[in-house]
Amino acid sequence: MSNTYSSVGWNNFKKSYDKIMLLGIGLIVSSFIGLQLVLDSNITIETLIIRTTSLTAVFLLHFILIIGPLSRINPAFLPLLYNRRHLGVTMFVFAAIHSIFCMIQFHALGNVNPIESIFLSNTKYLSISQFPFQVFGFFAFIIFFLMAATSHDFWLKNLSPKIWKALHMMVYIAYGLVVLHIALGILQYEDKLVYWILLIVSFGTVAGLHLWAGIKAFRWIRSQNKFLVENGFAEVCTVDEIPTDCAKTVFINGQNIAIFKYDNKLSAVNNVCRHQMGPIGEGKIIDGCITCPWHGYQYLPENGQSPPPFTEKLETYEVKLIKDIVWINPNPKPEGTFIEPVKIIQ
Amino acid sequence: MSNNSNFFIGWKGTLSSSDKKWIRRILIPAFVGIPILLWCIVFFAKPFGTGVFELGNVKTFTGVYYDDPFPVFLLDKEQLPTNTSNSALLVGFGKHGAKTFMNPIENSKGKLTGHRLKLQGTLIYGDGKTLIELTKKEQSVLEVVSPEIGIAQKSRISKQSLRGEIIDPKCWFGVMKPAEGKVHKSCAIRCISGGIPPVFKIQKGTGFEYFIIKGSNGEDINQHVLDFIGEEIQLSGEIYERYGWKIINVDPSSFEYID
Repeated sequence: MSNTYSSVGWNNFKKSYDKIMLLGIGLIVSSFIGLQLVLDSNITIETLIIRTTSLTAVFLLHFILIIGPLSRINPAFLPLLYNRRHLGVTMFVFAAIHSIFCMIQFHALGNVNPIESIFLSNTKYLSISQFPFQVFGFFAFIIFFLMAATSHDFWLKNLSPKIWKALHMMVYIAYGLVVLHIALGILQYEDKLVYWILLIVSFGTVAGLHLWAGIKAFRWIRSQNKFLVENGFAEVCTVDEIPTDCAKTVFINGQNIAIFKYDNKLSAVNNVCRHQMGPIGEGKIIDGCITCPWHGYQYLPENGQSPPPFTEKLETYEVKLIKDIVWINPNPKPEGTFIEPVKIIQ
Repeated sequence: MSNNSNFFIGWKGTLSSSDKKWIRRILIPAFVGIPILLWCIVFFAKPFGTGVFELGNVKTFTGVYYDDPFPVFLLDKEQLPTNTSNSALLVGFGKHGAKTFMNPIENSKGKLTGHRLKLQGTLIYGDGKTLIELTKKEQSVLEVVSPEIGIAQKSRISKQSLRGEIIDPKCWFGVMKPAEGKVHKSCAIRCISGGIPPVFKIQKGTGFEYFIIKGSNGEDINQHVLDFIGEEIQLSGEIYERYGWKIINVDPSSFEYID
């Protein structure tokens, strides 16, 4: 975590992550160029650039999109999530080269300006097969640009996590536009079935994994509505059900709550990280702090505050322990409110 | 994190050995699969044409210029690669027709049709056809060598109904690959809208035959064909040959889409 907006703090993991990313990109680029020149060297340099960059961007976009649900389904994928922003910005660079080359190649040096040409050269907006597919690519590019431009934590802080997250969730709109761009563009030219199979499998993988992760979350929420409530407190679980230094997460009265057990104590905070809305409850107590599994943001369990000089704060909740049963008051205290942790008497 | 003792924290900068093992298990198959997938994408793609655009190689040519029924430059043969026609269709820089630049030149030098000229431009050739791009725009004509050599006669006229696609010849014969169908539709619309003569491409055996499209009375009908570019259509008209190019005079209202 960082409380300033200086250059990115590089650590060994980030460096390794970026090296592997560049290796993967190098593999895509060199494989495609090599195969193309061996199998059909009549391609022009411009088309080679356009196709290499679009393929690389599409590969990266799919990889970026499946990391999220994979991490929700199996936390073993979390190391791939940590530096996903670098993947996103790199994907944007390739998408930008593709877009700029296409705009110059197909729309510039004519009798109207290139932007006008994208929208008004082919005007068959009422046809599916003849629809001007470039329009989809154009809007996808705008979204990718906004995301890349606001990818730094400066924007996360200043736009607020909610707005930032909403903006970056537009990646799904952009992905839909990219799929349409491909389906109504190059797939209307290339006539082999294999391309449709590739597109459908790719889209199906992204959609299927999101659906799987969604169903998992939905099932969890559905299992949360059978709590016994007495005097404003809901019965959650026995204390043994919470692993040490980890949390039990519950969803009561619209409140997403993580109850942590640590040092023979219990504390409860809101389950949504203030950084990128990660699932705090899937994190762990490290060095006395709740640590978010997504990017390692930390909070003190008793008051939900990030340790100084950091300023992020979570809502806190009252916890009771009656015999070995854990009870929680789902009415949140204001962010950063200190609540005396409940001691676990062995 | 494979278990609680391996909880992953990115900013700590380290990865446990079990996490490393896990990442390797994911990435190695991915790295093997990528070239296979890419082979599939390249292998099944439509082949590219063999046309050539000598981008960046502006040459000087001598020959005779005619502006009707389309801008053409009859080149001295020795200036061309083998198996290419000496009748070069003239096109402008970018997505413009030759007249965009030849008209201002004629305004300053006088009417040039039928004159032997020395001009500079970039060669485009493919499928036996030749084009010259007037890369230097209004500076393309270097010298007017001599006037009035004579005008080529029309061949016999025949009526035919053809099925094919309207393309822009500049891209098709070498500048762009692919230069047909949906992916190239907008570019072809811009080129033809900018004055490059529309060409009707029909399949003939394993190759193609080409017809420059003109109106029923031989007039330019570029703006009337824009809606039909890049799609398979049927048209009928009178066909004749001039300067080594086949020309079809058609009424655009008779164009029919083929599903």
